[in-house]
Amino acid sequence: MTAIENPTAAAAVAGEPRGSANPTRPIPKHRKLTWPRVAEAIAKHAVLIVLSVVFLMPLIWMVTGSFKTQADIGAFPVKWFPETITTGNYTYGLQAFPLLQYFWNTLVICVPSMIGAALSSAMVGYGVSRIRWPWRNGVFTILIATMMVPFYVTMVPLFVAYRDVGWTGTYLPLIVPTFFGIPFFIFLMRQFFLGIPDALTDAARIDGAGELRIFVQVILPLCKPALAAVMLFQFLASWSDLLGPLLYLTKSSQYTLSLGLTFFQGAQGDTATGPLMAVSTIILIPIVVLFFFAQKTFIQGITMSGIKD
Amino acid sequence: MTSRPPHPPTRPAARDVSRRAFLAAIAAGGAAIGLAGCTVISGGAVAADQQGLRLSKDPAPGRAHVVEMYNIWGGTLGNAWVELAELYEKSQSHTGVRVTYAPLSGNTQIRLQTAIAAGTPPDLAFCTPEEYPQFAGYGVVEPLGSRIKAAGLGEANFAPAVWKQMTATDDIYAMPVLVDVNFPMFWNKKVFASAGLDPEVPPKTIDELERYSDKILQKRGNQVTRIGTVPWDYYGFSNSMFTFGFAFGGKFMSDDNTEATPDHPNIVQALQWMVDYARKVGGASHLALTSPSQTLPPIASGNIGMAPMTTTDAQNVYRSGDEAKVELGATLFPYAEGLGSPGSATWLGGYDLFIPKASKERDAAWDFLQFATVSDAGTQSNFRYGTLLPGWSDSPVLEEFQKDPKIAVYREGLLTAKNIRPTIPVASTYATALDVQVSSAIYGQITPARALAKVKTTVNNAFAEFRKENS
Amino acid sequence: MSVTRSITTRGPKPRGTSWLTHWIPRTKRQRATFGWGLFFTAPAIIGLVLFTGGPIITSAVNSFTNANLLGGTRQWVGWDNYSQLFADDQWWLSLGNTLFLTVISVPLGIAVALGLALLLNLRVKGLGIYRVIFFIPSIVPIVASAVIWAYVLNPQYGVINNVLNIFGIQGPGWLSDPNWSKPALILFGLWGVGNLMVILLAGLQGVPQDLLEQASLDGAGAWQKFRNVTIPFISPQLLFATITGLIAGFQYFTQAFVMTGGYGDPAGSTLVSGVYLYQSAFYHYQLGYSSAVGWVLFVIIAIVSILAYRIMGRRVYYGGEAR
Repeated sequence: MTAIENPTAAAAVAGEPRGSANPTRPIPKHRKLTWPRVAEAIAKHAVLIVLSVVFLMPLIWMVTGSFKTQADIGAFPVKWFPETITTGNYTYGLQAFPLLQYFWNTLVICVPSMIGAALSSAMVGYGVSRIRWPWRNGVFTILIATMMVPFYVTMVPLFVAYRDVGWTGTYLPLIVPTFFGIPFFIFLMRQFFLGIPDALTDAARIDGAGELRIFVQVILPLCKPALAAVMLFQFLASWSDLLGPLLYLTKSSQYTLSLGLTFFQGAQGDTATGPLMAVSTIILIPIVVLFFFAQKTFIQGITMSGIKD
Repeated sequence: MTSRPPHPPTRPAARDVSRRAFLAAIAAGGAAIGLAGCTVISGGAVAADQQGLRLSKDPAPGRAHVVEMYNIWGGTLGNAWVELAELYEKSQSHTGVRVTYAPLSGNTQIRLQTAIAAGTPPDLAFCTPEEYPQFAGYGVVEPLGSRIKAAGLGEANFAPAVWKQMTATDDIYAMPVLVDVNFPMFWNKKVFASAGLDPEVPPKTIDELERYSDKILQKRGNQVTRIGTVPWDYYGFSNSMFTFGFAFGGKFMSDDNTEATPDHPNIVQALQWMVDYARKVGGASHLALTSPSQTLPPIASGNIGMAPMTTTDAQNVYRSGDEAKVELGATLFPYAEGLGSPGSATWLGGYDLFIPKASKERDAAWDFLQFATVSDAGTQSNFRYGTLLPGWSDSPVLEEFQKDPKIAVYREGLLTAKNIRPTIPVASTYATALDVQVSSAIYGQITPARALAKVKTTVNNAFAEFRKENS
Repeated sequence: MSVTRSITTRGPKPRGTSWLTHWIPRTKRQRATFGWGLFFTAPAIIGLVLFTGGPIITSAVNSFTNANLLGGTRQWVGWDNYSQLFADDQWWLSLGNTLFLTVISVPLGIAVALGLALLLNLRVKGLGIYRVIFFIPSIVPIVASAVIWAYVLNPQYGVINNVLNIFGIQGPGWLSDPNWSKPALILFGLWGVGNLMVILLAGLQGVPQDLLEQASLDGAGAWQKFRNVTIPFISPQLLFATITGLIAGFQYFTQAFVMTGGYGDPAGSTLVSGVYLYQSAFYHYQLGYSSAVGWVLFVIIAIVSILAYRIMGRRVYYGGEAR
C-alpha cells in the first residue's frame, strides 16, 4: 500500500504525526521495499543533501574560521579546511568580554519578549479576526499601516520619547513594546485564526462558552504551530538585535551578546576575525539547539481535519 | 456534523533515535577530522598585543571632575583610549575619565547622534577630520581657537596640512588625535620582477605608473588576472578620486572654501585617466584578481603590482602576508608630470576629538584633550595602541617613525602633504555624490565631465541649503 | 462534491445597514461583542498610543520641517522636502532599484520557501536535521553571512562561478558588475528564506490529509492535489507572506548595506530606497528630509499592499468560510 492510502501506517513508521488518522485501521509493521521506492528515497536525499550544503556553507565557514590561525584566515586563495587548527580563538574570545553575563542579559531580554509577543499577538490577532465587531478591520489596517513606516524615520523621536520617561539605560524599551502587540505577529496569528472553521467555535458558543473561554480552550490549542513560530521569531529577533541594545543600554554590565560581538571589530583592517567567528559559533549553539528541539511543536499539535459538510 | 477525534499519539522513540544518531554523527565527524592529520595548537590566533583588551572604564574614584568619552571601536584601537585615559589619570589628580563603549552602527555614530539630539552628549567625542564642520555648523561643538592660543599653540606646532584642516572654518573646533596619511604607494617587488621591471624602482609619475601597469597586465580570456593597480579601488570610489585628483594637481574646493569645484579641469583629466585605464584593461567588471580576505588587502594576493595602503593594512601585510607572493616597497604616491608635484597626491585622514557644547565639564575636557593630542606621553600612548601618527609635529613619535624604514614613508607623507579633503559642512554629501558619479563614470555609464558636473551641482546646492538653514 | 474543483468561495456580506450603524454598536448583543473586540485588541491600541503613535506623528511633522539629526533649530518648510525629493535623480534611481529587487525577490522567495516547506513535509529519514539546516541561515549573524557570500559571489574563486565553469559558462562579475549586482543580492536574500519556510511549514500542517486522500481516490494527480487542496488551505499564509514580503522589500536595507558598504556600489546599482533614507538621515543629518523620504515610501508601500490585498485577498480561502 502506498503512503497516501495508508497515512496511519506511514506515520507510524516514520514516527511523525500526519494529520488525522482513522484509529480503526490496523497499523502494519513496515512497508515493502521496492525499487521505485528506493529510487524515490535516493532522489529525495540527493536533493536535500545538495540543498543542505548550500545552506550550510556560511556555517561551515564560520566554524572552520573559528579554528584557523590568523595566517590561514587571510590566505589567498581561500582555505576551506586548514591543516593547522588552533584553539586560541576560543580561549581569546571567551575572555574578551564577560560572556556568561552578556548571555544572561540577553536571556533577560529574550525570554520576556518571547512571552509578551506570543500573548499579545494571540490576543490582538483574535480580536481582529474572529470577533465580529465593526472596528475589526479598521484596527487591523491601522496596525499594518504602522509596519509600513520605515524604522529609521521614527527611531530618533522614539529615542527622545524613551529618554523623556527615563527608560534609556534600562532594558524596558527592549521588552515592554512586545507586550503591546507586534503587527507582524498579529498579522501572522490572524491568518491562522481565520483558517479555523466556524463550526468549531459555533459549537462552543452553543454550549454557552464566552469569548474568553473560546479563545483559551478552543482556538489557542489549535494554533500551537503558529504560536511556536511567533515565540521562536521573537526570541531570534531579540537575540540578534544590535541597534536596540546599542541605543538604549548605557552600562557595559548590561550589554548583550550582539554588542559583545562588536568588541572584536576595531577600525578598518583591525578586526580580530578568528575570535569573532569563535564567539559567533558559541552564540549560535543555543539557537540551533532551541530550534532543533522546538521543531516538534511545528509538526505536532492538533491539526484540523476536514469537516464533512 | 461529525468531528474526528484527534490522531493517536505517535511513537516518540523513532524521533529520539534520529536525534541521538545526529549527535553521534557529529561526534564521529569531529573525531574523523581530528584524526585526518591536522595539527592542533593553542596559539597563533591573534597577535600577542591583542591580549587583555579593555574597551570601557570607570573613572578613578575621588576626583573633582569626571569627563566622559565615547569609545566607538573594539579591537586594539578601542583599547588605546582606555590606556590613554589611565595614563592621564596617573598624570594628575583633579580629573577622572569615564570611557564608554559606544560602538558604531554600520559606520555611523548613532549613539553619539542620539545623545546630542537628546541633550546628553559625552564630554569628548570622535569625528573624522573633514566632518567636524557639520557638527560645528549645527552649533553643537565648543570652539577651541582661543583655548589653543592661550596654550601657546599655533601653526608651527602642527603639520601644515593638519593645521590647514583645523582652520578650515571660522574657528578651530576639533584637534587631530590620530592622523592617517593617505596614501603612500606600496609596490610588490615580486610582481615587478616577474613582469620584467626593476623591483627596486617604483614609478614616480602617473605616466610611469601607466607604463609599468601595461607590462604587469595579464588576462585570461576577458578576465583580468594580474593588474598594475586598480585606480578606482583605493578604499572606495570617492577616496580614489581624491587621490588621483590631487595627484593631477586638482583642487576640490575654491580657495575661500565656499564653493565645491569637482569639475576643476585637472580633476576631470584625472577621472578621464582612470576611465581610460578601466577601458584599457577591458572594463571594471572583469577583474578576477583575488578572493575576499577578512584581514588582508588585495595586494597581498600577489596579483596586484601597486596599491596604496593605510598604516594598519600595511602592517597586517608585513606581519601575516605570504612572503612567497608579496615583498613590499613603499614610496610617495606618483604625481602627474606638469600638473601635480611630488607628494601632492597625499591627503590626510584619521580621527579628531571634539568637545560637544552641551558638555558640563568643558574645561576638564579641554585639559584631557590637550593630553591626548599635544603631549609627549599622550601621543606616544596613542601611537603604541593606535599605530597612527599624531598631528602634533613636536611629538617624539615622529622620531620613531623616521627610524623604521618600513613606515618612514608615512612620516614623510605627513610633513609634506599639502592637500586635505573638502572640510565643509556638507563633506559627507560630497563623498556620497563622488562615490556614485565616479563609479558610474568608471563603468562607462557617464562621461567624466558630466559626472563631475553633477557632483558640483549636488554639493553646491546642499551647501547653499545648509547655509540658509544655519545662518 | 469533488475536491478537484477549486473550493474558494465568497461569503455573504454583512446585512445591509447604514454606514453609521455599522460602526457603532446598537443592540445589547452588539455592544457585548464590541466590548470583547476592544478587550482583545486593547494591548495593541494602548501600544499604538504609547509607543508607536507619538513618534509616527512626530516624524510626519518633521517631514515638513528642516529638522536636523542633532536637534538644532527647526523651521517649517512646507512641501520643500517633498519637491526636492522628486527632483533628485538619486531618489528615482533608488526607487527603480528597490522595485526591481522587490518585484523579483518576493514571488521568488515565496516559491522557494514553499518548495522547501513541501520538501520538508515529505517523509524522509533525518527530516528534523534538514529542517534545522534550512533554517540556519536566518540565525547566522549577518556579518558572517556577508563575508561568506562575498566569497561565494567572487568572480574568480567563488563557488557560483566555479560551478558555472563546469558547464562551460563564464560567470559574471556579480558584485563588481553593475548589471549583476542586484541578482547577486537576490541570491543572497533567497538563502535566508528559512523564516518564511517555517511559517509555510506551520501552515502546511493544517492541510487535511483525508481531503488529499479523497482527491487521490477521485483520480487527482500530484499537481492537481497541490493546486486545488494544498494551496487553498495555505492561502492565508501565502497572503501573509506576500504582504509582509512587499512591505519588507520596499524597506530593504540591511543586506544591501552590509554587502555593498552603504554607498550603492557599484555605480549606484545597489542604491535602494532604504539606503538612500539611511544616507540622508545619518550621513547628511537631515532628519526632516529623511522623514519625507520615509513617508513617501509609506505611501508607496500602502498603495502596493492595498493592490496586492485586493488582488489576492478575494482568492484566499479561510477554512470553510470566506471572510
